[in-house]
Amino acid sequence: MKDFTSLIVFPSTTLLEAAKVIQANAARTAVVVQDSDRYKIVGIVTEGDILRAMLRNVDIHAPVAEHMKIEFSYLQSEDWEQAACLFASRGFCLIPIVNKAMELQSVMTVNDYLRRQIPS
Amino acid sequence: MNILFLCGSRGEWGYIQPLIDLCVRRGVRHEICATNMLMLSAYGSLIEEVRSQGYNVTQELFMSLEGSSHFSMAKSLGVLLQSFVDTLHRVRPDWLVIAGDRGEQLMGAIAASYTYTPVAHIQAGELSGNIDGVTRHAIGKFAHLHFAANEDAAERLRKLGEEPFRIHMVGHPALDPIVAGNVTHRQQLGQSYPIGDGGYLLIVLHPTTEDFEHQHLQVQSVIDAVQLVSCPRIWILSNNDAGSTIVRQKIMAARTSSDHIFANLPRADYLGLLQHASCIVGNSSSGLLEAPTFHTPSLNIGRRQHRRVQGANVINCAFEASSISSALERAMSSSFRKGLASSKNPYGDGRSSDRILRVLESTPISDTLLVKRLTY
Repeated sequence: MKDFTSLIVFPSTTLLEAAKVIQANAARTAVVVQDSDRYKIVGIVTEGDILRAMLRNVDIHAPVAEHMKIEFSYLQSEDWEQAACLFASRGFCLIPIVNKAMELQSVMTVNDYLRRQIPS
Repeated sequence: MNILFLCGSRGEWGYIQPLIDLCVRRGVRHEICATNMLMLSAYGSLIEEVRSQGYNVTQELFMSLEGSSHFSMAKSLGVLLQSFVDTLHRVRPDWLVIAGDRGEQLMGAIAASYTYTPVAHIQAGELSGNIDGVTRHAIGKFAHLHFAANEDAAERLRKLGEEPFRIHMVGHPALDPIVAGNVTHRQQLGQSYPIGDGGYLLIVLHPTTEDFEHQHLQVQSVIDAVQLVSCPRIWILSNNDAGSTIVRQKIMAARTSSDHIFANLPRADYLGLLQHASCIVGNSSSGLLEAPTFHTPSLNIGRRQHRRVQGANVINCAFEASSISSALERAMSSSFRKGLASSKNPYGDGRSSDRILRVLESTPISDTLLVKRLTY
C-alpha cells in the first residue's frame, strides 16, 4: 500500500498538528483517517476549517474530529476531467480516491492537475 | 410582548422556526437562547446557520460536558439550569416558549416556573420513549400553556390533571414550512447531495438512552440491513444524548462509498430529502411527524417512538437485522407506497404557528395563569 503519511491526520490530532501537516503538504487539506486503520477515511480537514475554528476562538489544541468535514467529495478512479470540475466548481484543492470500503487509494490535487496542463 | 425561545437541538429548531418566522413577519419582539448542540462544531454549529439567516440569537449558553454518558448528560442539564436562570433575569421575557421532550427544555420550564415567568410548551402531551417521554410530561407540570398537536395529546394532558383552559390543540408547527412550500426541490438536491436519479434511503438513528448497553448491537443491526439495499444512503448523525459517540463511531467505521454522512443539514434540504426518499429509516420522530405529509414510508425501529400516534406510513420493527430487512422490503414496495397516496397526517394541517401566536397574544398574564392547580 502507498504511504500517505504526509497527507493524513487522525480524529484525535490537534488542529495545530493538522495545520503543520497541511503546511508541509501544500495541498491545503489533510485526510482524516481512523486511528485503528490508516486507510479508512472518516473526514477531510482543510486550511479553511482550521481558520474558521480559530476565528471562533477554538483552542488550537482541540481535536480535528470536532472540526473536520464528515461529508466530502471523493472519486473512485483517477478521473481528471471530473476532478477539474470539482476543483473549479467547489474550490477543492484535494480529492481523495477511495475504494468501495472508503479506504484511501490515492489523491488528486489542484497542483497535480496544473502540472499536467503544462506541456513537457 | 417579548418572547424568548430556548433551543438546543436541530429537532427543536424545526419546531420553533416557523413560529419565529411568523414573529418576524408580524413584528413581534422575540429573542433566541441557543444552547447544547447548537453551540457545538461536532454537531454542525447550527447557531452559525441560524445567525447567518438573520435570526435574533441574543443568548448563548454552553452546557455540554464531554463523556456522552448518563452521568455527563444529567450534569450538563444542571449546568444549563444554573445559566438559564440568569438569562431569564437578564431578558425578562413575557413568554418563554419551549418545545419537545429534551432535558434542556425541562430545565427551561423549571427555571421559568420558579421565577413566575409564563412558559408555553409546544408538542405537549405526546408519548415518546426513553427518558424523553418522562421529560415531556415533567415539562407539562411546569408549563402554563400546553400546545398539543392532536386530540390524543390533548386528552392525555387533561387526564394528567391539567386545567382545560391551558390546553390548546394547534397541530405540529414543524409541518408549517412543508405546507408553505419551503422545501428544496429534487433537481436542486441532486446538485448538492449524491442521491442519483433513483431511490435512496434517509437514515436518522438516535441512541436509545435506556438501551445503553445494547447500543453497539442495535446500530450494527441497522447498518447490516440497510447496506444490503443497493441505493445511496444518506445518514444524518444523532444528537449528543448518552450513547451518541458509539452510534457515530459505528456509522463512520462502516461507511462505504454509498454512505453519505451529515452532521447537520439546512431545514429545507432535510425536508426535500425526506420528501423524495424511498424510505426514512431509524428512530427519529421525523418519520412519524413530518414524513406522513409527504406520504414517505417510515421504518421505525425500536422503542424510542413507542406508542406515539402513527400515520399509515409507519412500519415498526425491532433492532434485529433480518426483521429490519424484511420490514424495509415492505416499506419500499410500490404497493405500500401506493396505499399512502390518500393518507392523512395525524399531526395536523401545517397551520399551527398562527394558532400558537394568537393564543400567546390573547392570553392574559395573571395569577390564574401563573398559579397552577391540578384538577385531581
